[in-house]
Amino acid sequence: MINTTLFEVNFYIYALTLGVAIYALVTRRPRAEQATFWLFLLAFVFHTLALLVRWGEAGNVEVSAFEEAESRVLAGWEWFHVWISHPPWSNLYESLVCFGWGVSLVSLVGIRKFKIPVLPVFAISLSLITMGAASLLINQDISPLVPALQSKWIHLHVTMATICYPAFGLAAILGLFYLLKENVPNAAFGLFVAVSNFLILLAVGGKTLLFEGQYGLHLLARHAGKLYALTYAAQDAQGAELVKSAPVFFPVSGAGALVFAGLVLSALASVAYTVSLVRGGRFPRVLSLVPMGLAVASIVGVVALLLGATHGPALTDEAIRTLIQNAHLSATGSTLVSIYQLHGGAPYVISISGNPFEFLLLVTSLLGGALYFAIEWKRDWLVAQLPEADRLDEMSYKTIMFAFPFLTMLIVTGAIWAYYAWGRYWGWDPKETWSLITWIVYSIYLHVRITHGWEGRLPALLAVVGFVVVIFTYLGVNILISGLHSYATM
Amino acid sequence: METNRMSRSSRVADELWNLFSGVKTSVVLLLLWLVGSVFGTLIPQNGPAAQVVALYGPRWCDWMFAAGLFDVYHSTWYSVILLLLMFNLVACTVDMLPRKFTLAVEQPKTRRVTGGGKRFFSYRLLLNETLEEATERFRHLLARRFPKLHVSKQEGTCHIYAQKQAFSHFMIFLVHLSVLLIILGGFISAQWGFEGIMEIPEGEDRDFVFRKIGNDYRPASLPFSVRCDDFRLERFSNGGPKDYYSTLTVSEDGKEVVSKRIEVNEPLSFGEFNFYQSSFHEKAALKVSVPGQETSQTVQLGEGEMRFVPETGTALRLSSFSPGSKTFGMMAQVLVIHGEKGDTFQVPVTSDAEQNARMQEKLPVRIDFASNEPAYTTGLMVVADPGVGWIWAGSFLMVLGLYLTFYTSHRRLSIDLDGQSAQLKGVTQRNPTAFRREIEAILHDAGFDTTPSKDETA
Repeated sequence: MINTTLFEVNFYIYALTLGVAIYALVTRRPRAEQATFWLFLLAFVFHTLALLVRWGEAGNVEVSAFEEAESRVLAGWEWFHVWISHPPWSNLYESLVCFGWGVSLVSLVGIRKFKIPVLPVFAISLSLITMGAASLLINQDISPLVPALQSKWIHLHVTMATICYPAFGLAAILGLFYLLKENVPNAAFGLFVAVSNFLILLAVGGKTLLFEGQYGLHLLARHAGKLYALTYAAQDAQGAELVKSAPVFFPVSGAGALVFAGLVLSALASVAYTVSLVRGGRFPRVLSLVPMGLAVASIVGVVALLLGATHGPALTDEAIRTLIQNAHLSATGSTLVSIYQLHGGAPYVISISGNPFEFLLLVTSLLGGALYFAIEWKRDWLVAQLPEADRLDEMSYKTIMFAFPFLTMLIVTGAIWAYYAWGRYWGWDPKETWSLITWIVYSIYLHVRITHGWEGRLPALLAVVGFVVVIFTYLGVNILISGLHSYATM
Repeated sequence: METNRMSRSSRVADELWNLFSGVKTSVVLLLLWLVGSVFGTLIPQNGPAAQVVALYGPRWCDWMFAAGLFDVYHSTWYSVILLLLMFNLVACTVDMLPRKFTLAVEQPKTRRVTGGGKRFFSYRLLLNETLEEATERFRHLLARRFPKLHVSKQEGTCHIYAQKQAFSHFMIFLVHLSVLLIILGGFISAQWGFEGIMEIPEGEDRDFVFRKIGNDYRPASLPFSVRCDDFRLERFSNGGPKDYYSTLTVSEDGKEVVSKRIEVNEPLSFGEFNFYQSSFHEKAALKVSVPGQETSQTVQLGEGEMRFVPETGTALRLSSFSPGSKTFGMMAQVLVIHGEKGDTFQVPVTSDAEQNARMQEKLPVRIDFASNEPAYTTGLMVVADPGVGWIWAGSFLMVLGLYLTFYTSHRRLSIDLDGQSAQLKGVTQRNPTAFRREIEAILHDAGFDTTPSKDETA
């Protein structure tokens, strides 16, 4: 499969583009700004080609599956029909590279239209993060479409998502710019970063990190430079066989206590901040040190976790057996039957690459932290690069105005598809419910923006929060709450 | 005194009305709707009681059950939020209509453009032609973009008024109406919808369905019968199902009415009912005979099922069954319990009759597969949903309404001409930049200089 290699190359083109974009922002040289745009366009064209290549390769898989099932050779129009039946959006990897493509498309338009010098750095980062997350996924294979996905509505459904989700991302970036321009205190940004970082640490580590200082990572087998998920078979006391891929826990010293203390403190600071705002006062100067300290603490926590997780020890076959037996099986009286050695077995590692979303969340929180420090140090310079607040508000509004009908059509095409596949247009599946929640958030945005006394900062904040909800609907629901959507399984 | 009380009560009514029809109320209700919906995805819905008791403990569970938290989307309070939202929408519409009417119909009647602020702009243009020539020029310039143009001439002056897309003011009601339609459709589906499951073995027919009522499935008879004429399964090489089809025939009063081959994403419609391919089951069709006897019995067994076959004096339990693939035939392992003493044997069954004869040589019974294929049972979902038309109508209207609301705008323009100059004033409902660009393009084409005049800011 050449497509995965192409996507990897694509990742490096985006990385290069980001480097040039940062250089252009710092120096404000017109030549560099031009180069950023054309490089970004090049990366986008390359991305498009890679998608087409994957589409073709998926077509080959579909054709051979079809020929094998029907025991005949396809030709002509029929061959073509089957060959194009599998566009690259049927599992998580394909979905992510599609999303990245949409981000680049919308960003290119946004950069050309809005002409904000700070925008490329943010937009290209979003593409880069998406492609990076995709490259971490262990399952990048193409498997033939299952019956439920063989519907023409899926094409419309995914097209809508590919357009509207990145557009909401652009609106969020513009909303953030508005908040910067509108003199929202640095401390508020710090508090926001601290609270979200601690929530991320809580989501990533859960109870075990909080109360036991332990963090669970999946076992992987390294083969030819690639990592493969490790599964094993065990037999329970009744003799029934079960196949599992379970995380192995390793201790992270101090991280649990840090997260716990940070959570409590940032909750208290949030309350103090809200109270001081409601009582009409400004945010007290002394208190503004608290969010800063918390932000630093949360970033240290994230770094500790990342370092601990990326430097996991290489494990021998025997050590793995003991580890699995002790960690998962001895308590239930089960015994280990075999480890599935997909590609020749050892060496095994525990690596955060086996948890791409946790990795992604931690990287995002680091970027949030970096952004906060950029605001602390260079706010005046940053604000000077931005257009007037009114214009930013209008840009953000226009982008949401563009995306909202697509969101509506995204939900409607999903409902039509569900109606043909399962006989009901709505089933309160978590994915469906969260798409409704996203829709409600942006309807609130549209109403708040025209309400006297609520315009200004609140809609901008909603544009930012809205994108967090979008991402949760897109990825979080599948990971935290299981649902019907096929790319739920990694 | 009487009037005093009247006015006070009417003041209270006014306040209540304002509260109820306000946008702030809408935002609060939307927020409640949001929070309620989130609850439903965090708490297990309609799950087994043991699971939620283990999660929250019995005392909390009682409270949560009473609050409807285990079936949020069908709880009273969730419906109440939606009902309040619907009332709010209607009240909002009633409240806004007169204002919208003024803006869209009454105000344009004056044919004057007045105002200030972001959505208003004006230009002063110098003319070097006669009044008639200038009027004709503007009329010609604007006619293409503004179909309705009014020109009124007085001595030495001329007033041109143009407007378009006045309907834009009312398009938001289209969106609000669509929300009403969709919520209503949802209520209709929940109230009068029919959902059930049907399992029909290949070649047989059924005239009843297991109807879903709450979380239970109860048998309910149908006014027609459905036969599964044929079931076909295609597999991938890894054994997973690629496609599966059922050919169904619906008969009413003994007459065949409709027949169709269905698959996932391709349902059969009959009257108000739709039949969806939702699942299938494979069973082993086994032929049981006693060596030396002519007759044989056919039984269909799913994995783990047990059946008595009195004619042969045995009981059979299907221990395991593999439906086979391209390279392997069907295989089964059957536990046979025979005779009064209950002798038990594990009997392997393959699709090769000779091999079976060899392997089962010493047994009191002979077991073969009755056919080369497993016996299939098709699993159908039967749905009759009277709300679905409302939903589609609402969805279509919503998308249409959103586009009309966002991308049309009531734009009004007036030009006052005297001998030397033209005073141009424009006002737009939304997106002033776009309107300004439109007008500037027109003026630019006509060779006017469009640098803003001094009174623009006024």
